[in-house]
Amino acid sequence: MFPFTRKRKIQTEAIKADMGADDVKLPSRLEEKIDLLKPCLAKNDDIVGRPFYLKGDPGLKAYVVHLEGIVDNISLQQDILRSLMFYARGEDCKEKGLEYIVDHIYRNCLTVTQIQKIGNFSEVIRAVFDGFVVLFFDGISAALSIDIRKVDRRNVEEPVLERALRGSKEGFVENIVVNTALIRRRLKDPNLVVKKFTVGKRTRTDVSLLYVEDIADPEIVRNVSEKLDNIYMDGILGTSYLEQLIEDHHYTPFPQFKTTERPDKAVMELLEGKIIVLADGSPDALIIPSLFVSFLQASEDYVERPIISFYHRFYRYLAFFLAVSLPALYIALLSFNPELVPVQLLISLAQGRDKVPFPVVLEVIIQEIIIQLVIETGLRLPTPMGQTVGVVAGIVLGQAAIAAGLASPAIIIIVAITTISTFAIPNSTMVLASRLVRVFMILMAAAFGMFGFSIGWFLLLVHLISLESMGVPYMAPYAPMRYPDFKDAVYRTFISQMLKRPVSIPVQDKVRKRREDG
Amino acid sequence: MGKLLKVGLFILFCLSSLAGCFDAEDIENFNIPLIAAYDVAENREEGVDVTVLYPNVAQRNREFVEKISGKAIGDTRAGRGTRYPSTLLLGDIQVALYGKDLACQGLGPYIDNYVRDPRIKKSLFMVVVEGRGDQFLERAHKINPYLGFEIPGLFTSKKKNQFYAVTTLHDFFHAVNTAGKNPVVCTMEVLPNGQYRVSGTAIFKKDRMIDVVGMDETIPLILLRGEEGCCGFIPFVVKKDGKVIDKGTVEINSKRKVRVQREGEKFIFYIKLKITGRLVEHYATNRLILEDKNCIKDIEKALAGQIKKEGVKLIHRMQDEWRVDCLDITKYALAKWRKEIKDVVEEETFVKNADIRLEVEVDIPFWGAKN
Repeated sequence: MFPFTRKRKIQTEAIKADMGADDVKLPSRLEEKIDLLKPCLAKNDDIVGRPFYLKGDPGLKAYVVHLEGIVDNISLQQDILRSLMFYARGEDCKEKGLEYIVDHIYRNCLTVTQIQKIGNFSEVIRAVFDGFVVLFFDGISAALSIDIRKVDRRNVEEPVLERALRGSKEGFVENIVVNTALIRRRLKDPNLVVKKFTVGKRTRTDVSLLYVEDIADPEIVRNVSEKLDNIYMDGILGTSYLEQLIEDHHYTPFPQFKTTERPDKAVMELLEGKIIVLADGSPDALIIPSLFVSFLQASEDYVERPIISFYHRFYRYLAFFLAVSLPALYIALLSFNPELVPVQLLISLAQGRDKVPFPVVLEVIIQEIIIQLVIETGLRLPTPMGQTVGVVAGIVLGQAAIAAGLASPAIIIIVAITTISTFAIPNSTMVLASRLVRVFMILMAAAFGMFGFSIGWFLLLVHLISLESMGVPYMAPYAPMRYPDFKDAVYRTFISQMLKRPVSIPVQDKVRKRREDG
Repeated sequence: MGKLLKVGLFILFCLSSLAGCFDAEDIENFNIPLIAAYDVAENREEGVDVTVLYPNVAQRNREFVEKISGKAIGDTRAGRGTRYPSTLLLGDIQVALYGKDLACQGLGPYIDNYVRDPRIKKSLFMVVVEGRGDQFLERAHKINPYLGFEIPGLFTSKKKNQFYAVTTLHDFFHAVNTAGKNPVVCTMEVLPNGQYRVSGTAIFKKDRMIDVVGMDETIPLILLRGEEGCCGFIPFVVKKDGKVIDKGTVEINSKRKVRVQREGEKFIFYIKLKITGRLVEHYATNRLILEDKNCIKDIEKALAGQIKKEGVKLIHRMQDEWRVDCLDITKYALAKWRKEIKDVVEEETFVKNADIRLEVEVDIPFWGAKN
């Protein structure tokens, strides 16, 4: 076993042990409960505690605790406090006992829907910090946690990274409830299962696992559930954390799970037997398992006509090849195998390089560094400023470099085509992977020419073929060959002919459309 | 991690032992020969003069010529290395010019280096120069700044021009090494003012040039050889009662069909040329009404007769003078009776005694807008 794996195991066990430390049963007396809460109340000024009396003769002492700004104040006042203070029947407690009051309040007084009875102090703390309202009653050991959270959220808007000319303009937001609803609204199948998890000891992030029960492979569902259950991190701040924690291969630059910002895309994937994971705070969904081909597919592929989709997909494959290979090919051809370049182009390239003081390799590496800096700068700066920097860097810097004899016109074109091709890849994680693989290819070509370039691609393909996404071969349907899935690989056939689900993804119900369905 | 590192290091070691960045040389450090001319050495008893035309990368609009003499082609490369710092990039040679004297000696020794080097493309064009190759290059490049691209252009765009032989290194090598085949190579000449042109065709007996024919005989030669995609402009004259009644030009496409029969030791070759064409122009002002189909019939008949006459003349010359199969028809006999005749096809008597019959069929379906 690798040393860092051992270290991680020790760390997770420590966190697990720590989580059960405050598990004390709640006392009956209200004062004792408040005493238990006091350390928390003293430390956190945003925790609000308010004593009150339930209506009755005599009125029952009660205490409400919640986080400021998270709960819906109007709902708290009208649906909880008002109901309890004016309509709760404290007299009934005398007849039926104090423990009855909780059921009574639950059934007769409170108009909110999400109420839970809790009995441990750790549960109280969790509920308060999860944003619930917690009610304590004097003489009753149980408490009630009520969900009336109201967090300001972004409106549902068009996705930023997955824009489509045609089709839905709705994108996920940071709220997991809204995101689940966006999927539910599109997939009204009662077999759609939403399984909730709370992940992260301190962040207590809500995570939902969505799958269609009679389509998705139970083995994959079980695997993903187990992996989510076994996450012992103190902080999970989105799907990207989950992705890294549940993936099989940590050392690859290639993403093993696709993310999407589009609910329509998520529904499409659910119907192919895949699993969707949503995390609160993330405006995207994880798709499990994901194949390499899916990273080069866009949701609008299924909106356009098949031949148009094929045309677009072909260019995306070409873009991936160019993004990974073009600078490496430039080095290999100009420094090792110039015979492979048509003579007129070769002379033109030689003329362009005549005044450049750097060897081809160094020229490419310098330009690669510059373009990576420009991309990083463009991403970090505010949008209008980022665009300006991009234009200045692209045009002014390029022209100046040529005029100063520091770069040849050809390398500027090569870098420009490479950068454009990089961003033609529809998935942002695959874009990052292609940028890293490009560096590897450049080094291989710089060391060994066309031979190195070939070996580089060979190693890349071997690596890709060796990858799995939740046990599913990453390069399917190409390796292993799954001929039926070729109908939705580079070429997409007519939707009416997609009668079966992809065989690359294990599913229970292989038939998508039966003839008798019409 | 340790295992991964070990495997990575092992792969890196294997790769570094196979190739290395030591081979890298950037293109601006190369001289890229576009045309190379080979001649019998002027100042030596034995050997070869190699003259090479390069594009001038620095000046961008001029080409320059280097001439080096040596015992053999490899020797000239060694000699060049002592005079010029730049490396030769042999893979981009477009045309190899051979002086007439060298061609008469046989080109075998002078194409050997090309055939052996995998970097050199086998599609480079071969040309025999009237006179010396070095003089051709030195004169022609002075008034043609892009000679290195113009001469190869003559051969890549031959379908739009005229009838002349286009022979690549592969064609030549294949013909030299195949029983019954003999190459023909285009000849070029340079005029005193520096202009150059295709002047005819060199007839080879294997790798040795035995004769040169002019452009008049080149047209029937190319038609009879049945060159792939052979097309071009051909003039015609229509006579009636010994009097010229029409003349003009037809753009033709030609297809050859060869049939062979054997009567004992005698081989009868039937060559059928099927020529289709487009009337480009004709001067018979009193017969401009093209709906008159007889006019076209007359042109077709005249053209067929003209091509047949020239073809028969060429066949007789081939059988009587050269006695080699320069029409590439022996392969049809070999296809049928290879075992029996493979040893005799190279003999002069095989071609001399063969009965070669020519039939020409001309069809001009397109004769203008009034059609």
